[in-house]
Amino acid sequence: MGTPETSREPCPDRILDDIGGAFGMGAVGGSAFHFLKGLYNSPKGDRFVGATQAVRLNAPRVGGSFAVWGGLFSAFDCTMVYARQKEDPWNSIVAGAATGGFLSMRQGLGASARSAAFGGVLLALIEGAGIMLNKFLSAQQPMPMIMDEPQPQPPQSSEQPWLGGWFGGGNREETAGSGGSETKILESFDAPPVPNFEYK
Amino acid sequence: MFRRILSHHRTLSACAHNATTRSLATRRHAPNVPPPPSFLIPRSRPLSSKTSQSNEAAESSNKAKKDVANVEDPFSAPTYNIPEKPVTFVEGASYSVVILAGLGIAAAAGYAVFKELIFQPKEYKIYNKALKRIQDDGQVRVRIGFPITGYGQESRNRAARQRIPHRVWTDEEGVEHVEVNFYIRGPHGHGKVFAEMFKGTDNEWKFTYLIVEIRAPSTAQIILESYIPSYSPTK
Repeated sequence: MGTPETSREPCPDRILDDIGGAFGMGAVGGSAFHFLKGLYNSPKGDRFVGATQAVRLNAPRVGGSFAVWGGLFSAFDCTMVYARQKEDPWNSIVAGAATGGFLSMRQGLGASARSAAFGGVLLALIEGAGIMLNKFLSAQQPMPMIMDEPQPQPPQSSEQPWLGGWFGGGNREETAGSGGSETKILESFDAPPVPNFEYK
Repeated sequence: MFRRILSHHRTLSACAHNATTRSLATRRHAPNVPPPPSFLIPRSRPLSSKTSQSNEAAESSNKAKKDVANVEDPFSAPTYNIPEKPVTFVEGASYSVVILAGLGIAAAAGYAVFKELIFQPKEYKIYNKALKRIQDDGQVRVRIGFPITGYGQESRNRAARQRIPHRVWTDEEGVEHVEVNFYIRGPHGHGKVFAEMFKGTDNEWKFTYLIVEIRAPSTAQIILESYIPSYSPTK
């Protein structure tokens, strides 16, 4: 019973996925960068051969560096998820700082602290940019004007005197309540289900 | 290098010359003069040959010094003659403008980051409050186990899991409402949470509703919070 559910938890397997993904990004990006650099630095007759040699020499090294960084970052992120039992952008920021500090620990404590601060600031900028982009994209979507759906269930008898107590304000409260739970269809948002009041 | 090797060959030839002079001296003086004067005469002649050797070495060292001095001149002369071009005032001003623009961009990025993260956005604030309320509740704990993890969306992507679907709206009385959806997962099951909070008159967030829809071990729906406004018949 627990096996299919634990397999949906991404955290231990995501480390390996992130190592492969980071290596792919580093190898492809490093290939493109060093190909252009080799083209620029080679003499006139040997540009393509020089570029090919530069890619062959440097692309695996860049891929390896990216894989190390991505793997460590993912491991620290999973550690934060396990420790805090929640997922929010703070996990990524702390994981970035920990990765930077850990990779520079061999150079001394001062350099390690500096790299940790730099990693944290970099991840904070990335997360902040992501949140701002998400807010901008969500603000761009026009709100669909949908007629209020009638309540599928009639109100309970216990609710009637409360609703009857408000003469004009009762209608306003009803509209406010229906506004709170109306089923507006959005891409990334589900309206709450109509509660069926069965206790246990 | 070549000059040093040539000087070495010269010293070898000088030694050979010295040997030949010694042999000639012994042949001439042996039949005529007794032994003591012959001892004195060859001593003086090697001294003269040694002095000639030292003179030749001095001359060679002088020539080497002159050559070194001559070699250095062509490289140092152009360095002293490079004219310095002054930077105009307009160019310097444009550089300072570029620097100020860069600092402005950095300040804007820093402000955006601080606004979104240090002053936490509303959806994460409500997400934290709702998740803490759920983690401390016994009804949910009985069903899905104790370490309850909350995440935004059911995906393996880190950004998608960290982003909380939310909607912010204001009712006709000017009160701000924030609705959030997120998923919870425990050792024995998982579920989905629907929560709404509004900012009351005392400027604190209060729950309008908090509904936990448990799906995994058995389907259940738990209402943890449900707001009922204060009732006054005079209004």
